[in-house]
Amino acid sequence: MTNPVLIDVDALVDSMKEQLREIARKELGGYIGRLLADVNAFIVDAISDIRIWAIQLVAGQIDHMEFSFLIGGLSDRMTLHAISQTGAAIVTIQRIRNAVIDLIISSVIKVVLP
Amino acid sequence: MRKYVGIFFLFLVSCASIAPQDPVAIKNATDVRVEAEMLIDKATEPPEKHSQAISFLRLRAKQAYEYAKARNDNALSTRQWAIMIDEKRFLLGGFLFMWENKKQGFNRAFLDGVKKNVLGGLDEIIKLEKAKL
Repeated sequence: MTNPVLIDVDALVDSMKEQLREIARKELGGYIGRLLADVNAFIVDAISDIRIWAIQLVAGQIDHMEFSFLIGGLSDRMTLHAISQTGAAIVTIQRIRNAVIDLIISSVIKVVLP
Repeated sequence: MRKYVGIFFLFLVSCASIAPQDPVAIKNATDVRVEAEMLIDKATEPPEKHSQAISFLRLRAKQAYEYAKARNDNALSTRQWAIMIDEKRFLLGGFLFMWENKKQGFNRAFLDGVKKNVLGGLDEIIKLEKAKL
């Protein structure tokens, strides 16, 4: 009776280690950089909006009710922005998962079919 | 053992999933964005002059919400649309409700601010859809 193909899991994981690190570095590094730049730009923009609306309120160009509505709108826009960021984080996780699955499949195939 | 923990963790967090990118969803959002921008620009006039356009835009936005809601793994986009069309909040739904109840037009300064918030919110919806795989 012939032996089935035995896979040395430790050796397999060792061979994938560097590539796994590279996947994490590429995906997470890119994500964190984008996240920080995006949040920073949003905050700068929001502060600028509040400043403009406050000046318009003082100048009588908008009334208190309109000012409150605009601040409420900014708050809603921030919520939508936060939801987008959550989605981007999930997409990053999906991307990492896909890359890891691809790596495992290709590594196992290399061992089984040298 | 530690080496397996990292892989296990990745698979654990991979339980979170999100719907794939959908061109129809992007089109829904961009259509509403264009129509919202045009209508907000006209809101210096009383709402009666634009009642048909208001109803049409409300319908379009509601259809986009229902489309998002009907898709699997799409809770985040659905939540964004729910906020956008909610009459008790301060984006598109809230603005149309406010305009109809005021029964007169707004000044340009206010409308510029509304436009920034509504279009910015729609940009976030489009951004999330485009970020999907």
